[in-house]
Amino acid sequence: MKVIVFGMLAEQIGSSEISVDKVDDTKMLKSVLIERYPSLKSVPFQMAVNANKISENIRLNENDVIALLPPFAGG
Amino acid sequence: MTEEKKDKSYFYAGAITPEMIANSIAGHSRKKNIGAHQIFLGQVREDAVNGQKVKAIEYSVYHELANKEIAKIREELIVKHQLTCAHVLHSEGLVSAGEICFFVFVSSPHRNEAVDACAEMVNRIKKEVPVFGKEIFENETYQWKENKD
Repeated sequence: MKVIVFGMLAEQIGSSEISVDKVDDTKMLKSVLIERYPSLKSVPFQMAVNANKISENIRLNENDVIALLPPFAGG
Repeated sequence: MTEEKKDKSYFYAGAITPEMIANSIAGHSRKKNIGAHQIFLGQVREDAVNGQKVKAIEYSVYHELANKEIAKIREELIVKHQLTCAHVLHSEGLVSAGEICFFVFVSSPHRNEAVDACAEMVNRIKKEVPVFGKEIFENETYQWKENKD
């Protein structure tokens, strides 16, 4: 599955796009990512799946594109 | 008309110029049912952090989601406030202190709707749209910006 990363998170992880093995849902994905990149624990972030913001745990499919969004700074 | 084309981008590479804003105002004179325009301009402020001044902000954007969110906010506010017209433009890439990075322009037959809609549009965009900013200081160090209000 493709994970795209923005802003301060991309800088911390060292990449704006990473690949992960399929997991069942966004909650699991978050644990997998935090395990791989422990610095993610210190930055609050939202997730979006296929360019849809999510506010709760949702199931994931192999071809989903998940985005990690640090705090916004627009306007 | 309030419709925008599909795949509309609300982002512009670089600072938004006063000329662009003036041209937008001029373009609305043909819409004869407009009685009021309310315009918001966001300018990059030369904030001081630990004795260093902000020289520029570098904006990055999650385009697919950001355009979708702006389109949604725009459409909701056009309906809610019965606007004749609403335009949004946000810079991406580097914008220097003193330059315009955000332009919201709403129009309606009477002023109350335009005033209210513009304020709501600005607040919602700042809160809901995935735009990221790196504040670059004079000595080339930087920090990531976070909207507070």
